[in-house]
Amino acid sequence: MIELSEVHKTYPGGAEAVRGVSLTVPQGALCVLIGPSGCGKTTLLRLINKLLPLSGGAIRVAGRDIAGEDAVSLRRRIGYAIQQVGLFPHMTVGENIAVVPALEGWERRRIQERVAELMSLTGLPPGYAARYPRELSGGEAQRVGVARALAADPPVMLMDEPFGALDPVTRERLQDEFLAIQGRLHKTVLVVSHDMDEALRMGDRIAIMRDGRLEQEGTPAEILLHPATPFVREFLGVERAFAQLARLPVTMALDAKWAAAAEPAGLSFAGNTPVKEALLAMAAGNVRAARVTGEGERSGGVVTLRSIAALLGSGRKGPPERPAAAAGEKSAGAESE
Amino acid sequence: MNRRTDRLAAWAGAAVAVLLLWAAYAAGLLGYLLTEPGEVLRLLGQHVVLVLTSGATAVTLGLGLGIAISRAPLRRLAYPVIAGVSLGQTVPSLALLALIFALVRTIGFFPAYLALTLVTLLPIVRNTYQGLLGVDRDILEAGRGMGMSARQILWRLELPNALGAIFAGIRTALVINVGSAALAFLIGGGGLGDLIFSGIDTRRNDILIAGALPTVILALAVDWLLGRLERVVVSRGIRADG
Ligand SMILES: Nc1ncnc2c1ncn2[C@@H]1O[C@H](COP(=O)(O)OP(=O)(O)O)[C@@H](O)[C@H]1O
Ligand SMILES: [Mg+2]
Repeated sequence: MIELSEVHKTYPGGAEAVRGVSLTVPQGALCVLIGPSGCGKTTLLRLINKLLPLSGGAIRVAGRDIAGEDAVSLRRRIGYAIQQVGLFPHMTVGENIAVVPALEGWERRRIQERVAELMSLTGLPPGYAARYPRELSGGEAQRVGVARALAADPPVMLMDEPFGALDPVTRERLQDEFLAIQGRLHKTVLVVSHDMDEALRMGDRIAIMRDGRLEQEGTPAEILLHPATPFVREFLGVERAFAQLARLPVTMALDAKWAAAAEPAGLSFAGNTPVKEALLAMAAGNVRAARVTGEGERSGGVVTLRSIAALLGSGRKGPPERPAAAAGEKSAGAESE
Repeated sequence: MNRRTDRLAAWAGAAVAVLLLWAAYAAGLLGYLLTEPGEVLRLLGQHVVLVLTSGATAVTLGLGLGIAISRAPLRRLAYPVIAGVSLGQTVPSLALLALIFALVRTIGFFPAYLALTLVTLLPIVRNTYQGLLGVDRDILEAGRGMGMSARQILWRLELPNALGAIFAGIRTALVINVGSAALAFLIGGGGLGDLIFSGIDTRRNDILIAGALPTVILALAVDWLLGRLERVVVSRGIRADG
């Protein structure tokens, strides 16, 4: 768990990079820190592993206040991937990945096994272990950067735009691979991004920063459905909302006003069907409403063209008629009951 | 520069050298070298000892000083040290020798050793300092962020990455050292300068050549050896020819 409370950072020159940020990344969660360039994201990460001294506030990692911790041993427990990747050019890929295990004094054999494991985990061919960083493409270098940060199995990871300089295809693939890794390892991750799609794709939670302040923090659905400020709304963008229909489950778009008794016949979707898919199927079938089957504790219901439109417009016009249960707490507008 | 042109140049150089040697032999310039090989070897031995002792001292001190002034607490000293070093390099070796002689007021091995050490120190300090300063900041940030101590960053990141520049400094310095050691004779330090200056004094070109030729060969050998060492020590990941 990473807990920031009222964190401030003013650089020696007087630049106020972080102005009172309180943020918690729960144990095992992946939080994407997003915001425009220069809003203080990198600064915030560097405060957490004590690369920079705090100007105010407090930070706790795994329950311990970092103020009282030795910087070097704190950093050994926090995997860190810097924005510029920063692979060591005089070391091979294998040696780069092995840096922290070697610092920790692992046996050679265990290090070798670990390097091989991480290379396969991050999709690097085994033959690459003997290559030097200058012999890698940008995407390969970023994989090595991620593998290196994961090497000693740190419970907490800080990653600064780890997929930043990649073409969209490679980026999506790396994002997926990282999500698969995270699905198995359940680390507490704070990853910086400046790309909203990446944030929505990867984040269990999203924290949006602007000018050194936290504008909003919440689950992707909460943020999509209830942008807290005009800035967040604009940052999300309306086109973005369309793109998000592909990611949100249809249970997010249930129509509360549809009488349960009058269930439409014909089309029916599983609860985890993306809204966009449902919308396309409804358009193709020329129906205005379709059934959504329940899933786990979530009850099913009915999705209508109107309720989808409401979800789509929520980025602009406020909340939809009936926000899903999971997104209830932080409602920005009035409920329509 | 590619390997093929390198090799071609080496062969051409060797051919010219053999030709010159033959010409020298034909002109009787190798007379002393061939009749008194024992004396030449003795002086070569002195020369090598001067080079090795002063070179080793200079490399040790130069690396230490270069590292020291690149550390944050001492970086204020870097400018005056480098400025002093550069000034020192503009002083001719001969003048430096005279200066040291005037200071220590003895002749023999010691003042020669001292002067040679100073001459050799300068390029090493400067290249070490500049090499360390030139290491990519991102690498250091990554190392620090991964939990390396200042010492580990120096030994595992900064020095290995500055090694190319450091080696360039050491090579230059030691080649200068071999040449300057020929002046040691002037203050009783021995070495091949004995033959060179005697040859000049007595107008015996064969004696001069008996001193100059081994000096040149020694300089080339030192440069070649350091080049080999560099290939072993500097990582292929950062070598220009890697
Ligand atoms: N070392 C520094 N010294 C002074 N100001 C800095 C330094 N690093 C960053 N800043 C300033 O702090 C602000 C936040 O920077 P940064 O955290 O790098 O932003 P981001 O990562 O979100 O792009 C910027 O205005 C930047 O100019
Ligand atoms: Mg940044």
